[in-house]
Amino acid sequence: MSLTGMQAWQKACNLIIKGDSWESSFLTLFFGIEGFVVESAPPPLLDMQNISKRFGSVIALDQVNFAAQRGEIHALIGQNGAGKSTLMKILAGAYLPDSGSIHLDSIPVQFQHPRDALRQGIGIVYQDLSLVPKLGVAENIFLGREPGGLFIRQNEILERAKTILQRLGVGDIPVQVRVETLSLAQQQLVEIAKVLAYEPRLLVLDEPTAALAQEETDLLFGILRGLRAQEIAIVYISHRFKEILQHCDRATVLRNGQVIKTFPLAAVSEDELIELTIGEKIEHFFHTTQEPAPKQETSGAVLEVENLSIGRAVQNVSFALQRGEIVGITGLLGAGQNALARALFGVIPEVSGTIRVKGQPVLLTSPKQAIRLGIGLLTEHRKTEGLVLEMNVRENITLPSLRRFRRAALFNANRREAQAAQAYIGQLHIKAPSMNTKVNTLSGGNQQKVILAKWLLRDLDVLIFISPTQGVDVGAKAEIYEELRALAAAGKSILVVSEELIEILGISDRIIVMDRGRIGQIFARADATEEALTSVMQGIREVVS
Amino acid sequence: MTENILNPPRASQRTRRLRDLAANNSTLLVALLLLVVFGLTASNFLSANNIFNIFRQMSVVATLGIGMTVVILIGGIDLSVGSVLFLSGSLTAAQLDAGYPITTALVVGLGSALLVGLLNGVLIEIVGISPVIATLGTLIGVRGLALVLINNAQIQVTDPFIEWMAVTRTPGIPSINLPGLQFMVLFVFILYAIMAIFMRQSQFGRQVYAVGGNPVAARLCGVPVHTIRMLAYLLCSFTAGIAGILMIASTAVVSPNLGVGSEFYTIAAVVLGGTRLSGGVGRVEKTLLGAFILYMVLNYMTLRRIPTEWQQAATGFLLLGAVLLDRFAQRGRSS
Amino acid sequence: MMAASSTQRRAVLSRRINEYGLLVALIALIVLFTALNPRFLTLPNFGTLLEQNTPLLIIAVSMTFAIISRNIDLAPASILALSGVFLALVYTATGSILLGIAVGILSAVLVELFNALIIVRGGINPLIVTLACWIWARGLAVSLTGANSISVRDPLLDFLTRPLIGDFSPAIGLGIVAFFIGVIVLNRTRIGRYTFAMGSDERATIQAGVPVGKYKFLLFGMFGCFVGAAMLVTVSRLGAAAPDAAYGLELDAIVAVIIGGNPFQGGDGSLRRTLIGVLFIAVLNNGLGNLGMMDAQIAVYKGLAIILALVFGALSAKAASR
Repeated sequence: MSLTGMQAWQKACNLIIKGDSWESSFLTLFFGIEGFVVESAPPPLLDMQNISKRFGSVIALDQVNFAAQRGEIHALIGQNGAGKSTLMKILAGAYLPDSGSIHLDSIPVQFQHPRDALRQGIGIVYQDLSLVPKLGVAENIFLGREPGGLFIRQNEILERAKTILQRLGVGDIPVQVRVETLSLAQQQLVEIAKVLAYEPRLLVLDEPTAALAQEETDLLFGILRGLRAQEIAIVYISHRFKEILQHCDRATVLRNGQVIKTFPLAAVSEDELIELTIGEKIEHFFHTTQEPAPKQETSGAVLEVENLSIGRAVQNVSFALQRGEIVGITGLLGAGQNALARALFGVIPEVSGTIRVKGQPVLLTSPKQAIRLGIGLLTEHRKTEGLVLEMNVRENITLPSLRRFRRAALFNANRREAQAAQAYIGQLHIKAPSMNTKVNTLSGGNQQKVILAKWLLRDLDVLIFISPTQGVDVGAKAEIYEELRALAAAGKSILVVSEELIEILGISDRIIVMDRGRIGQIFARADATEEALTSVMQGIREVVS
Repeated sequence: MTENILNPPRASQRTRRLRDLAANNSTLLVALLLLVVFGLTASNFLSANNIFNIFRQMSVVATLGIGMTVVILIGGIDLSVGSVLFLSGSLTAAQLDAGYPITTALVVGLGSALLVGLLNGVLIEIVGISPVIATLGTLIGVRGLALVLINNAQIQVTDPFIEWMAVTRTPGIPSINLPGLQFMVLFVFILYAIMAIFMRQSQFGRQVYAVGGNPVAARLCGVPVHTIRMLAYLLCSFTAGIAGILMIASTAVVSPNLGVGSEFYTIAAVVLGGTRLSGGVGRVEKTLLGAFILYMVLNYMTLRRIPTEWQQAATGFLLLGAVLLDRFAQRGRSS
Repeated sequence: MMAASSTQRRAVLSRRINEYGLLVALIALIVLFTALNPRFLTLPNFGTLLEQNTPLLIIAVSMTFAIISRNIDLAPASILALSGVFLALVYTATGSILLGIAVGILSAVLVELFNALIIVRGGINPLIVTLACWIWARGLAVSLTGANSISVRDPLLDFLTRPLIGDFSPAIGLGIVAFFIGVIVLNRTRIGRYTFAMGSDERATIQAGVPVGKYKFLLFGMFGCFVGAAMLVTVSRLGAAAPDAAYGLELDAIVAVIIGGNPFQGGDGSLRRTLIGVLFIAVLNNGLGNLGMMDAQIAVYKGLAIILALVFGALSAKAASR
């Protein structure tokens, strides 16, 4: 049966996009034979089908189909929270899927333990490297599998390590030195070598180039191409569209736990990638028609940064923060926005350039000093940096402000302290059984609110937030945004560092986009769109507003 | 990852609260349990005389425990307290022996203790030596220093104030067989009361818990982490100095081995009191309870005529048992 | 690549400074003591010095493993006393020294394995567990002997500490053998490799599939063997098993390991450094004693020397990492 022209054209497009071989598309199109498969497409090495996973009420993955072929570099793309890491953790054997199946070379497999995955030939290189710092390169590569019985055959380890590194094309990394003396890029290569020593059929890399310079990235891809030639399947998780388009063969886009599309990258443009990743999100708690918050009359900026550089991470950044203003800072992972935020709180001492607080140049050397100057920092690690988990809500809220509650008589201050804490618990709607509940029992959103309350109580002029709503439920998110806007209206200056573009777009008056350590562009809110921001982040082009 | 479960059924909420209450006060429960068991199985154990005896025997270690608790709360440790105790006690005794008034002698003794605390603080916080090693060094050096300073003499202490401290008791109530409580013991209790309130209510106390619980977060809140830690070591040596004075009050003779090994018993008392060695969790007043449990067990063994040699072995096992019990209680709670 | 090699060179350099620094201090100390008392540098004195400190060396070897793997062990001295008591009791009861030795060493191993059990299965901090053992093992030793020493005179055991070659007794040979066994195990075997790995990053080691719990048991069992060997030398020297034997030896051992240049945080270290540390303590003890000083003065100088060595070590480490 032949098809009508339009239907045929649509079918052809579908077939091409789905990634079937061109031969079968041709045959189907012209002979109208559905599903005609030419035997040139071998079954995928990895076939994950209908994988679903939920954590409590949160659906992390929803009927995800993901397949990787031998001898291809397959990019896995998606924003934070889209499900990439959950999918990979299931593959690694760290999580069990709620439903779905995994096949390796058409054989169904189940992983109960990360070691199972490794033994089956799946090697994963995580972002946080798992090397033992004080052991040597060769020793790390063979850790846990040293040849020999009671006595380790050290010479054999050295020889084989050398061979492995040479095959990778990085034979110049000395095998006897401790990994802690290597650069981050070299450590990453050693980690890859370690995984490769297991002779995996499938290699997964999670954001490997986040901290790498250009030459190091090129080197890495040279290695990956070599591996691809050896018929190894490579899954490459990354945010960096340029690299993906340059080096990868196919891509799968995840959004909100679902697969949007799997497609070859040959004819795709950067803009199309951006569109696919961002998609349409209906964020109901951002009113698209918003009155800009009434600005205070400003004379002189509250915080000025001039030619700030921090090692390799940040180079020559300059901007000013006005009273009552919310400035958003965004960029890809490793673009320098986190380092910048921390430097403005005195956490990073090796900073060159000028920082001016209310017109006065300062040298920020410690958080204590920054607080005294009226600056506060809320970091992305709330449990390890933002809270003392064993203390209760009240104690955490009052920790930076203890001087205010210094006692004359023993009991007065307790009441004042409790009242102050209660005021903010109420204002921020912190849900806890009482203010004496230990914070480690609170939900993520409430924990974040406690940290916010802590800084509010201190009454600072400048508040710097890094990923303020990461891991926070929708309701708490809205409340935090409301609070930020109220603070700005009251004359506070706020810097928000975030990777969530919707968030940045929703609350910022101005947006600074960082790209590889420098400021890519500064947008006024009216001129900023997700596509514009992403383009600058990716270093694709400068958007002329 | 724990989500608040809103409105759980009443019964399990109650049982959970009971379980939490039990876990938080496990030390007290253990002490009460032992009191009951010992009281039933040994005559005279529960007599006021005997209990007051236990108080007296635990005074020195309890005093050492005050400062040790604070040091452990900030995540450190001080192995030199036994030597500092000896330093302060022997110097005070030497001064008294040489005819100086009591106030001078006390200033010298306590002052020397403070100096050692300063040394410890500098070595650990400024030079960066790990607490175990640094205080090990002072442990070795300070005792010797003390002996050198007093010329290896064995000094008899005959000062009226010291004797008064050692001997005086509160008026008892003979009609109900209540003997007087020794002033020394009363002094230790008052010290504990002051410290407990201080740790709960003061800025310093709050900062100690922050530094021990999460030094990174504390620093990011503007808490002067290094200063707080140094103050902790100063405080620890100071209470060791006080303990030294109490020691010479109770033994009346300064012999070179005074206080040897006491650091280990002090740590045991702190751990028995539920303070975590990793820092951030624990209470000063619980160390008093820990010391009481320790000496209660020793006292019981004496009453039952268990040879004193076995008592040391029993102490070690007691420590192990207490720590294991606490670990299982924690595991049970988190499941 | 250039940047990496200069970091490597600096790291190696800082380590060399640490090692040779103390060696230089050691030689200076020997020179000083010889100048103050010519009898110091004589063979008989050195024979005594070495034999006196053989138990320290053996325990320090064991302690090096403990510190590198971040499983500090406060108990060896108490276990030494206890195992000595077991040896004496069995010997007195059966007349067989071989049986006594066997039981003695076995008891040391079992006690350490017991500690390992609580650490691995109970998940309790090694410091507390070995602290408790420090208390109860010696307590047990005192209880079993009624605080008296038990005489152990047997030709086989006495042979260990009677001068064999010149002024040097076989005990010294035992110490040297123990040292070299330690070196081989630390540098050539799986146990040694995992000792470093566990101490440097236990999480990564577990992730690499290494059965860390099993190796902790092996480590503590090994500690027991070393304690047993040290016990033999001690009992032989005293001709008796004393419940207060080796009191404070664990502290000396820890000090020796650390001032030799092994970092307290673990993950790194060598027995060569421990050896220098042990020699330093040995020379210090013996030299000061030879000067006719009181124990008290010895303690002061010893403490001072230790603190100075520690300060130097810490400051040079800080400087090297800049």
